[in-house]
Amino acid sequence: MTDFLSVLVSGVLVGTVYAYMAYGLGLIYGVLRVVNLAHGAFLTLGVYVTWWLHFTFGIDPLVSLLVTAPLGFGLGAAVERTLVFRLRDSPPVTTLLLLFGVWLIVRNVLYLVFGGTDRSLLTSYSLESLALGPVTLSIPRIVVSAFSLLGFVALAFVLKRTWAGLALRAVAQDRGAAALSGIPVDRVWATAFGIGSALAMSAGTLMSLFYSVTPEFGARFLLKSFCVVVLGGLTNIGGILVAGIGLGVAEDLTAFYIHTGFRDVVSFLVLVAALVMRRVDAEG
Amino acid sequence: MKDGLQVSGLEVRRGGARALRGISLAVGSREVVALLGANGAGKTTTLRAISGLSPAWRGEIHFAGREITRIGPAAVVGAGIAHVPEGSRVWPEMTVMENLRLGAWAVRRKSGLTRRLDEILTLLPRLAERAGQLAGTLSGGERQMAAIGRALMAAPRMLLMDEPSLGLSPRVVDTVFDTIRAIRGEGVAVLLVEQNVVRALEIAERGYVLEGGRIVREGGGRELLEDPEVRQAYLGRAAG
Repeated sequence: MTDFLSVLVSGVLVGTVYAYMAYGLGLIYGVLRVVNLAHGAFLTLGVYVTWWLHFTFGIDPLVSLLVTAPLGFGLGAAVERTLVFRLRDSPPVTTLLLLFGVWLIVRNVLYLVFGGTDRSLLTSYSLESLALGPVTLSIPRIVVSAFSLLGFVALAFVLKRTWAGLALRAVAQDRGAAALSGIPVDRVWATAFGIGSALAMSAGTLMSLFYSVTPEFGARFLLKSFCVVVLGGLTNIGGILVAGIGLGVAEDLTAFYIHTGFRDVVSFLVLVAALVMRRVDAEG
Repeated sequence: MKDGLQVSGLEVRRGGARALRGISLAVGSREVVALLGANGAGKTTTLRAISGLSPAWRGEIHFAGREITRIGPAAVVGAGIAHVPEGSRVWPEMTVMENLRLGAWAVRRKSGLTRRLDEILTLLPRLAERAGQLAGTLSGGERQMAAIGRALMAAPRMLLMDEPSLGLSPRVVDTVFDTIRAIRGEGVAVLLVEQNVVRALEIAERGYVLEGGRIVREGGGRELLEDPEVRQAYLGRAAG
């Protein structure tokens, strides 16, 4: 029972990061109707920038959020302005391939610069844990989960209360009506891509606290992001939070009670199941 | 008519075809002008061209003494022309209040937004009752009111209205036309595209009839309403 509780709570903690990591993908799809395969690139870049700042200057990963989030915004907005924007009227598969290309380039540049060895980022609190009654929790997981939730609160505030957030939602819901109300749709697109990428890069930063640093980081977590977004409903903050937590818990339970090797199988299975069910929904 | 809208020689192409073949029209300030015609005559295209959504191929559009032909949709709203699109097109997953607030996007840095919101809620009391509701859950008439309110939030001096009564029950249509009168009363000009020709010409000072991308007839509201050809074409009966 104690084990179960520990695993459960730990799964919830990881799940909030999953949700945070996935939200950018859903946001970009919602506003631009573009599947951002470069999401994997931004996740990986976040991890590497954080690792490099820590390795070179000894900067704490949580502090480097101040670098990776704005950097992600700038890079994302730049990718939208220079690449995605040119393809705005072409079929979806074109942007899909284009962004896949962006990801391949980033991944291979990382191989070139840092090599293929797995690295890890150790801080003074990396191995600390906290005993709460019968449950033992790793400090990094608690911290990362707290930051993710904080990120969600900030995001919800922006989307609900600011002009930029309202404009983002308007473009997602009816682009034509947004243009008629004088909302500059192309600027909103760049902003949405920037925010989505900032979320991905800062998620990479948070996750560098307990995942190894490798150019393949993005591949693994892009798939999980898809899973969360499909399950949670593209731009629905609440849905994505629940889906992320659900996946985190399912993975941790599987890893603990069945086998650690099956951890990543869970997201595949959930993704397939979710897609099949959505399909049935759509047909029914 | 220096302060109204002047469209001259406007041509718009759609996929090579000429959707508008050089139309000229004017709307004075505080005037309601009806734009009539069959489906595909170019009514919506005219409104979209004025709003900057369909680029003008040739011709000029002036508003309040300023050329607005190629300044883009956001700047057109800023210049004082707001557009109520066909089918209302409110943002369904935002509340009525959010829809209204966002209508003020073009003028968001100016003062008086709260007062404006109050005025609109007084003009359209139904919206006040529905303020916190998602716009997607409104009835057709309420949705149309929300779209009108949203456009008014931009503090326009002129409204472009595309088929505001389409698909509404007769009683709700009455409310929509009462609202148009009230809007005129506030000093806002209206360029009205309507399939309900009689209602439109009753309220309009003047009207234009479009056919195949050209203006084939223009005149005072009453005059057009009694015109045998107009009656024949759009009402299916001769003047009685």
